[in-house]
Amino acid sequence: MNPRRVDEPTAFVDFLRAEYAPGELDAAAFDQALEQRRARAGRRRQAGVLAAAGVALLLFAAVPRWLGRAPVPGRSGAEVATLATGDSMHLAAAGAAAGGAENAADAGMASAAAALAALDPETAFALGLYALDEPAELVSYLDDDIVALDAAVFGTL
Amino acid sequence: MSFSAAVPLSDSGVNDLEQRFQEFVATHRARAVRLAWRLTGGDQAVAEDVAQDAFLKALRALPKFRDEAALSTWFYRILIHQAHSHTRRRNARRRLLEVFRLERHAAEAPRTPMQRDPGLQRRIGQAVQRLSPGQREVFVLVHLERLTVNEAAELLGKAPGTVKSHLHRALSALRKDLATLYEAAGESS
Repeated sequence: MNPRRVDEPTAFVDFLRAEYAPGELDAAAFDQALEQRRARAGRRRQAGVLAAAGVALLLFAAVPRWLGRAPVPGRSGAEVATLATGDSMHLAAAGAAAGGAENAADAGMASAAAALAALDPETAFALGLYALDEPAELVSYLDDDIVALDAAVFGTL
Repeated sequence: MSFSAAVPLSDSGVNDLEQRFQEFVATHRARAVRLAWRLTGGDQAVAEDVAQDAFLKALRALPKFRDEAALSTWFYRILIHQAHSHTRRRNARRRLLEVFRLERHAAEAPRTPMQRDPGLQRRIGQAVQRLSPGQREVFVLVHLERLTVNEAAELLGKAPGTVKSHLHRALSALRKDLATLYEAAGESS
């Protein structure tokens, strides 16, 4: 007598397969929810980049100051530090808003959300890319506002 | 039956990514949700969340995979991992809730639009959830999703012998756990 194979279907397995199954999927609703989730994920990634940019700017300003050197020719370390600190707050706030209110805590800058109105998210994102040394990405976002903002912060572009 | 559907996909460049993604979702969404539903204990909302998370990961990985079969295998690995993570987090939450004597909330029934007997489904789902993760994954893939032992072994990265061992233990445990339910269902039908 051959023993029953472990993967051989039995009446018990057929019973489980028939009973333990979901109802029919609403494909249209699923696709719509997936699209919304996709959009939210995009905003969260943007928020993450902006928050990282804020940290990068803070470091950019702070490290040379600790070393006693100015990070940007023609500007003192303290001057750039002030500008960069203020701007990093804007970037983080823009990131928090871009990711939605629920991400404000993730960005760690909920208190800076009020500063959002001063900077539109796309501009902040572009500056964030610049701070993260992503010039190729920056090109697609570059416009006069960014040039002006960047010049104000770094003195050059 | 494998998870790798033989769907011809256009591959004429990056601009086709969106179309590839839509085709991939259309091909796999029903099966992905059903697998997630079975792995996570029969909750439709959770199953759709798990499947959508896996699809978003697939979207990001799409440029790396020119071959749809390879993408499918990778996608279902991600889906199984997501379902496992969800179950682990949910179990941890339940344990905490029990500590704080909030079992009432933890024992809420899954939000599932049931077409079958909801009590029966829930009891089967609870029994499946009581299996070890390895046993549960193997049982769902082989017996409920009709993969062969070798296909399940490849998908899970386990040896076929391990899969068979898990399968045997899972079936024994379910038979023991659901014996009265099965007999009652047999008598009533």
